[in-house]
Amino acid sequence: MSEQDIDRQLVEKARQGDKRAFELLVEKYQRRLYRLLSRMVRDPEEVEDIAQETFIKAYRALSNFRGDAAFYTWLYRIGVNTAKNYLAMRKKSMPTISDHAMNDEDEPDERLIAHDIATPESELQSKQIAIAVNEAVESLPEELRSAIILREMEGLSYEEIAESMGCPIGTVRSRIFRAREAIATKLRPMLDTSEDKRW
Amino acid sequence: MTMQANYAVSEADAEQELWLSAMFDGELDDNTATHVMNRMPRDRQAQQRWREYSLIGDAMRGCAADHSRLEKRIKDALAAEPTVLAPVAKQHRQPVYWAAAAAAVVAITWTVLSVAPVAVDEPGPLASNAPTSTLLEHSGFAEGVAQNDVAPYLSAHQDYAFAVAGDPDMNIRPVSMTEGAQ
Amino acid sequence: MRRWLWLLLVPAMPAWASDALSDAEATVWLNRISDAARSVPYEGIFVMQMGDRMQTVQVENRPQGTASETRLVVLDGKPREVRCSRQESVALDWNAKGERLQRRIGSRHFPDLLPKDVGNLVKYYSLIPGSTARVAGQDCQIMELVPRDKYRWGYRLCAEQYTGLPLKAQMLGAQGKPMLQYAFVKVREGVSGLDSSMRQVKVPASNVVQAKSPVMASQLPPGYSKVIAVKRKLPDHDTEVEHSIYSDGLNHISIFVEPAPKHMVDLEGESVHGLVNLRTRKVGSYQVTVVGDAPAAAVEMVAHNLVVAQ
Repeated sequence: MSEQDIDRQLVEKARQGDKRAFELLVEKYQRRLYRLLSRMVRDPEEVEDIAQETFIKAYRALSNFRGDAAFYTWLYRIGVNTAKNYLAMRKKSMPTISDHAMNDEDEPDERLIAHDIATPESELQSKQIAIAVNEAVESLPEELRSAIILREMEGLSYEEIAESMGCPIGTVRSRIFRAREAIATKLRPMLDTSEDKRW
Repeated sequence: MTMQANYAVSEADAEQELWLSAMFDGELDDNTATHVMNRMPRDRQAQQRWREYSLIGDAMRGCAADHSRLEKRIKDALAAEPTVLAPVAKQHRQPVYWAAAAAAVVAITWTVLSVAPVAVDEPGPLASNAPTSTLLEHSGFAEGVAQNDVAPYLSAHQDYAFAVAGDPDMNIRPVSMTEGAQ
Repeated sequence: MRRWLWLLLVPAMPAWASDALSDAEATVWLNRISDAARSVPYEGIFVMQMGDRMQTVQVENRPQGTASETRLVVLDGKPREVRCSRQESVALDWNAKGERLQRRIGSRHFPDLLPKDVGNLVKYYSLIPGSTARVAGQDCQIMELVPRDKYRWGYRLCAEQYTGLPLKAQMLGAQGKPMLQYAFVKVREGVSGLDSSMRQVKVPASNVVQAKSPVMASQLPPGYSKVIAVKRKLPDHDTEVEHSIYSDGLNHISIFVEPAPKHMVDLEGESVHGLVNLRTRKVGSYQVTVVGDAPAAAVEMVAHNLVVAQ
């Protein structure tokens, strides 16, 4: 069952009344959607507003989701349209040259960059998470590190990874799982999640 | 619970989590994937793993901003939403063009592999936009130049530079150049 | 109020009247445009025009991990399809003998025209903002890459307002005349259809052999560096040629080296629309052909400074 099939099954479950299934999709795609929306909108609070509205719109429109497109593609289109409407209503856009040119004060160049701008506290947390994950990946045994990198960074299928690493697919499956477990173990204290808490 | 039973439970859990990891990547057979997915609503540990796997992948791809606030907002908003109950979706067919193109490409790919496999050690042809005409026909000069057909060079260069460009019309003429230093 | 007056004025101002951006600002903009072509999922149809020739191409781009998979299908003339995935690229040709699957050595294509590392571009081009425009029904910002010297052609890009994706690109020659143009006629974010066929293309085993050319360029135009050198077989050639590619990130120059035939004639040429320049000459016992989508000055500098490697 492919990743797209998994997403479609989750959509189907959500359509049948299982909101938790939709929450799994939120968990999977919220960061990616946020990042893409932040290319369009500078203000992080506005990006959050748009991201929230996107997921809610998607949930309400589940009956319209046709299985002929990937869920993320459909979600992304809703996000882009929501962002465009939002910007049109507020008469704002990505910094145009004219916006920049007419400012009297010298503003830092970072103003032109639209990326994950966050509050100082969450920015620190994000950096810590990123550092922790990267350090955890670096400290993995080589075969686990290679497997997880080929999967997450290169997007290779298990079959392609097996071919690349010269091992059976079952070994790839196991290595990726063990790599994830090792990284997650180091990450858990930072996420402040325990088995007892509802996520 | 005896040690043996503990071990048996842990092993089953480990196997479940292994399947979950594979399902997350879309690399599980349909039956097992369906079984794992059906357990998810009741299995908080599985939900936790799903969350962690998402975060790990995003962090590795440079997309690990902390959105716990956003996540909470979305889930709170979802909780307030009336539960969607929609009919089972009909599987819509892909638009005809894409379906035909995808099928044709797949068929052609496998045909190519079976008819003309490329051996590992044997250098095969590199792609080039094969010229449809000899460009020298346009230039009109001494017949000795016919040996220096420039079309293959243009095609090979264009293939790198533009991927889908055809060959340009060229004006070519013989010249006299001094040899380069050796 | 002033802000709105400025916005009314800008569209009327010609591109050359604006000042060039600083290196820092140019880097930000070029990174954004370069990154968009790989990280934004999109599908569409664009038209490519070179001189009086036009070609229609369908394109879809699926970000994959930190890279992307792109598929281009030529919709008119000879059927051809190109797929670019991570570091690999293959072309599917349909010729008289049937299908042919071949590995390519590059993945330059519209709209992924800018290199990943834009540092070299900032050094050798000025980035001058133009007005806003509308392409394929979408608003975009015109940005012009103006060469700082005579060794490269410039580009005018129209970057989609929200994502930075190039919707239109023109390669500009002398006096800013477009020699090569691409423009989307239809484009939208996201890719419809299931991702079923991309992974099913089994790329043939690599026949790209890293080569050390017997003839080398002893002098290159500023900003150009070697991208790749391979040994390959060209159509209607008995022997393999050494093919090296040099680039400044936007303009590309190829050098082909092979044993010189008995009766060889030095050649020079240019495409009728001026984009491509070519020089063929004998260097030692070799025939060397230099081809570039670059001004004659750049191609000639390479062609006049070739040495047989020791």
